[in-house]
Amino acid sequence: MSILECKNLRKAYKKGRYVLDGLNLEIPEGKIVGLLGPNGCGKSTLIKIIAGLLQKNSGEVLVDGKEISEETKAIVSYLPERTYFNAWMRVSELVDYFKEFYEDFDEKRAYALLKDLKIDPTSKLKALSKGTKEKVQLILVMSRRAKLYLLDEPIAGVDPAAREYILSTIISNYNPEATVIITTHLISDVEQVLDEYVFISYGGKILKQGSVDESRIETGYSLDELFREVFRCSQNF
Amino acid sequence: MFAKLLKHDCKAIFKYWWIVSVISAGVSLVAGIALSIMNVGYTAHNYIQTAAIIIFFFCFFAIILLPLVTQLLTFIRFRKNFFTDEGYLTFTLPVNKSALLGSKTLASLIFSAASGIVFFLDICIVSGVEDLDNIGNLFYEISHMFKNIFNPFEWNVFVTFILTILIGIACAVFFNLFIFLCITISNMLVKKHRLLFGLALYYGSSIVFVLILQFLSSNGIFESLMLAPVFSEWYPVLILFGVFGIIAAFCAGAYLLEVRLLDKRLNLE
Repeated sequence: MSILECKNLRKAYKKGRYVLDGLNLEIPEGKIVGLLGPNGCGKSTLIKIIAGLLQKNSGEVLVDGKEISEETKAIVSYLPERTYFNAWMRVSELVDYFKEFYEDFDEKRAYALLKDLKIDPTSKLKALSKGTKEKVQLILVMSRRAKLYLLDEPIAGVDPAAREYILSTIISNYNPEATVIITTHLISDVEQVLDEYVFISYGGKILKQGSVDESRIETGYSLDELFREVFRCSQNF
Repeated sequence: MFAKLLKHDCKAIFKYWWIVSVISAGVSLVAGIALSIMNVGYTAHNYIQTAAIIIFFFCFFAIILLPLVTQLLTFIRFRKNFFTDEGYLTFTLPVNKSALLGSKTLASLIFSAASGIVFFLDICIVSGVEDLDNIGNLFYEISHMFKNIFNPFEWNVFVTFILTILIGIACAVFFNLFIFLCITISNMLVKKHRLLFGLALYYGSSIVFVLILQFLSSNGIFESLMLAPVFSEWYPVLILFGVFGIIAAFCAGAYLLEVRLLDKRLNLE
């Protein structure tokens, strides 16, 4: 069964200029999926529509068979590409906040991860560095037992050591029955954690979709090489 | 979920509101001292009295600003929580838009009432500094006023009193919802200077509203309505009930429009 279905999805920020123009996509349950494409191809737009932050112009988006609503938000854990917490809150207050609003939030796991990273739960967010804030955000998002995780550019703008930590946190903390969708253009960094990939091009066109392992065997290319190949061809047209 | 949202909204506003309230109490104390100096009468040091008068008026102006600052805090909270990066958290919570808007409206109403109480306490401080008996007199005057209204007890007077309070509450709710609506529309329509556009929209539509009311009153519509030759003691009650109904309908309209805009038109880019 698929956790996400998009049928003929269209979204324009300006009249007639569609960022997503008739996107059709199906994502299966229990996989880590890379939504890969160049900047401005509509990856974040798609993620935001699924998270309920953007309204589609037309088409259908179903999460676990349901239209986007409070019901789907209860099973979707979303990590945006920016820090979005109130700066005056303490880390422990944020943990309480998540605990109150999300039934699937695992408080113990959150505190364990904070301890691992030596982040003081009593510290205020405004006192933390940008990188630490991002880690707090990731910890809170990954401490939920969600059915679908949407991670929008989780490794963009962080140093290689932090990238490694972020990816290992994702792998070791996500619910194995759940699906994780990661958007990024840093393919070589995420390649090792992905089960499936979706190459998305301008206008939300799906150029290629499949299993990472199978494609490696079939083509002999790594995902990064395949991405370069596919997008070089698509630009030639 | 609504109670949780309300708790967090109140907590966020209270964080700043209590500081404003403590400052206003301090300013009241200074105003009270200035008032005492003013009431001493002619002294050898005339400049002290002049300074006291100036200080008193500045302090009194600052005390009057308290309800305004409270309103400002609720509007800032609304804008920040919905239309800045914090919106990414707010709108991904498993809560419907009606509950989000409802908690913001109720929180602003709670703090408006709390500001009213603090304002009354400030008045008590100002009058009490000069002479503690002034506070007793103030309470006596208030209880005397209520005695005059309700003695002998008449149902139509009681209902009029309740309706007047309800109209006040409905006006406060509408005022908040209308500003929320202006902020929302400005965030959806323009890309730059959103706050400025929101304020312009609010003041622009308020001026239009006042002009319409003035036009109606200049044609004697309200006068003829109030002075209609209906000899029933329940007639004013009916009029007030009608006024309450109209304001309540405006509130419902603003609330539903706001929820619809958030539901169908919200795009957090």
